[in-house]
Amino acid sequence: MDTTTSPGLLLVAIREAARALPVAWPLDRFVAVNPLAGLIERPFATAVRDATSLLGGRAFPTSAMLPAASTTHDGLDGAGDDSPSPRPRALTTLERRVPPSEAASTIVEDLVASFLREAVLDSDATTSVWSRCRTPRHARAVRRALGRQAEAWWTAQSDDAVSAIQHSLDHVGVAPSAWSDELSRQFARLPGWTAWAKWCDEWSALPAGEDRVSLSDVAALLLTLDAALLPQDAPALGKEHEFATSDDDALLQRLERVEDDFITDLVSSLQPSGEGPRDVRAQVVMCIDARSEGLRRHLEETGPYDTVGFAGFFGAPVRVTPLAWQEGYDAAPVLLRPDIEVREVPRLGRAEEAAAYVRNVTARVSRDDVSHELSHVASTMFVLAEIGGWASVPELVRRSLRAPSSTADAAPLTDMDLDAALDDPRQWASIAETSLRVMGLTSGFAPLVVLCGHRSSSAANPHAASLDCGACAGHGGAANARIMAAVLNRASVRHALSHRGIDIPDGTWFLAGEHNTTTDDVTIFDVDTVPVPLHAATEELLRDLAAAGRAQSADRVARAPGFGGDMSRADLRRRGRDWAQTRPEWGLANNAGFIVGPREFTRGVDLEGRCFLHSYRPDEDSDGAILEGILTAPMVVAHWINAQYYFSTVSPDVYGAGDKTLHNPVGRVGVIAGEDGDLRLGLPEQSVRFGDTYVHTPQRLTTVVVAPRERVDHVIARTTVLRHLFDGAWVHLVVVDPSSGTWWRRLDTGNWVALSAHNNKESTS
Amino acid sequence: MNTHHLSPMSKLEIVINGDDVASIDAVLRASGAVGYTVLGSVAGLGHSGFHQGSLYFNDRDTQRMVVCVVAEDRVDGVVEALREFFRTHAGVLFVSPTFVSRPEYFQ
Repeated sequence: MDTTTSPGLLLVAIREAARALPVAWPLDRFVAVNPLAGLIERPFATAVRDATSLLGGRAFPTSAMLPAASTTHDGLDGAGDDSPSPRPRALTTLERRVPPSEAASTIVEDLVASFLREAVLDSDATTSVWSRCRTPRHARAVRRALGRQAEAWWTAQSDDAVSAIQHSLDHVGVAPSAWSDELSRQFARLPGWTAWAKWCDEWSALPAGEDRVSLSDVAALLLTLDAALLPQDAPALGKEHEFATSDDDALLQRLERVEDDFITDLVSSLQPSGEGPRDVRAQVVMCIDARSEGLRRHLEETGPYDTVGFAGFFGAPVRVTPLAWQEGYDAAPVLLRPDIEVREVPRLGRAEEAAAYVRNVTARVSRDDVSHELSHVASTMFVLAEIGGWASVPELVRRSLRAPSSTADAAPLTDMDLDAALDDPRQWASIAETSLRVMGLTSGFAPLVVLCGHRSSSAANPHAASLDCGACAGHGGAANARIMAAVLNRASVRHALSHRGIDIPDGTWFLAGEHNTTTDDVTIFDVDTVPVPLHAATEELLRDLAAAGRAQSADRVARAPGFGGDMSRADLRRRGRDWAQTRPEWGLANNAGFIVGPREFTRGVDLEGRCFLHSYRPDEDSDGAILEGILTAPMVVAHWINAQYYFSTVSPDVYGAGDKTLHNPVGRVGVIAGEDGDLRLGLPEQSVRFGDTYVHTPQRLTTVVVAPRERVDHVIARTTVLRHLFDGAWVHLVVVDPSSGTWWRRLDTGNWVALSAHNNKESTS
Repeated sequence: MNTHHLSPMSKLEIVINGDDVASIDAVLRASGAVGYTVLGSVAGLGHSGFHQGSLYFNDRDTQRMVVCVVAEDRVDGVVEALREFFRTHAGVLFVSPTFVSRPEYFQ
């Protein structure tokens, strides 16, 4: 066989092979992603079937996962036909050529997983994982697991991963035309480690060493051991077992019925409610996150408040370095590469106090006897790692099992350093203008405007970041809110904005806030800087936010299972601190809709926390540029969250993280269940169901846009990612024309059918 | 043009999706290219429709152009790998002769 082919060809095959595999972000910035994002160019139904053929599992929900009303009389409720067993993964070439006992697949996978786990925990490493696995100790491990012959093959391979892959492909009998197929099948054996490698190769710029794993490392380890097990007299490639897919279409149709029912109910509930309140005390801008919806509604019920939905990074493409951190973190959607570094610095005159705080925090991390106070909070664990280095993490995890003590140092007064962040501070005005235009807040400013991010609080929870703000790359949104509030309070920025047609009155003050979605407490920052004339309004705002939070938490407790019905705010706060608590909150479970339009269409409507809400003023966007910005970023993020919930629910063995109580974190790389095996992907089962009750309904996202239909068509036609999402039926699209009031649903063919909002039936086509 | 003190090379202009830049980087390096330039905000019409050049909050779903100059003895390997890449990925590849003043930078 040709062994002199360009190494570039094999790298193309490796990248292509990983396409159907998920990607996974580090635990400290765990963001939701559509695990099938690499197949987005294929229609949804094709992509899920293709991925299921390769990785195994299920493509579509079972009836137990769907609302009972939508699944009656569907002809699928009879015994046995509803829940075909999850499929096994595709077989590798070796597995098709020899009996299963000779392939020793599980032994190989466990061995490779253990090599990878050990490699990423070696924080001193500076070379590739494959080259670090070329030691006599690793060879002995191969001998113990697979015998002397395997050890001899292993030892004889090249120290270069790509050369080793090519040699093993040749040996097992894979022609270049089948490289990509075989490599896919290899990756399907360890989708968790492949997902980490994919993040390292395609999303991060990590140098070799430490916890970087490349796809070539994973492929070289698996393939080399497969090749080591191939007997000389192995028969030629056998035929693969065919799986029946007869019920597949019916399962897809049932899913579509559930989605149709949701759309019908949603459309009938959304009607313009006329003008908002007069003499607005405050405009509160909250993240599009579905958990904001209830708080917004309850706040509007308490008084003259207007609320706005916008991505919770508030348009600030920043990398933030909090006080005492060694390095910053990206605080923007992962679709963006933030290039503005903002440091949290002591407020003028507070340098000594801040220095003492930094000393205390640093000492807390490095001293054995006190750091357990903070380390019981897993998200804090990652913070501590930033301060103390990743080497401290195993010790922190051990300490996390000790009882916490009560005190932590009070943080000093700080500012976000805007001046040092940009060479030309006037650029802040451009950032501010884009934010205000996209959130539709360009006139009619209230005396107070609150930019309110969100975070969660949970203890000993490796997946804590999954409950934080996706628009801030799995972090709390306070820093972004503080940055943009400071930007918008600057006289120079307001002066520049007035030249661009946005006049912010002198009497308007921007405040930063943060909604804790676990407790529904809302913190407002830097209250001491509010101008005196606004003190009374600020106090009223704080009071009303607290009342709205109480109402919101009461709703959540009443609605979701597992809260005990009469749980108090104090109980919720305690829950957030309890390291034995596997469900600090339900996160974004049951998300289903993304609504883009003026608040008039949703004000007063109880959407039960199922919808992302993005504000949009169609009358201020004649060329569709703002709509394009909303659909290509916030909607993509919402789709990713929705898809992550879908696949973690429908196919938990492949795309879900399993039982949270068994999780062991592997550095920041991911979690394993128990002591061994692959990294687990996606959300734990405790995030999507309670016992046998599914709290999340796995269904595709429905986007509702209030805009002229022609504008929506135009935006889709010029934007590749939207064509994929809508034409491929990854996301359903409903549009209401604000002038005619007609509701339309776009089919995946690109044609539209009119929906009647009142009789809930499709009326024309 | 007087090219007698310039060295002939091959120029590759590669238009791809933003999220494929990392793959192209890996392929070019493995095939012997030693450098390249990435241009953002590339818009245009292809056989699957129009591709928007820049979006407010999404850098990955826009088009990029990678410009890479390689010595002529390496161009076949690079092109072979890129042809394989384009079998399954959207994008276009243009190859044209070019000249450089410092050939040692491209070896």
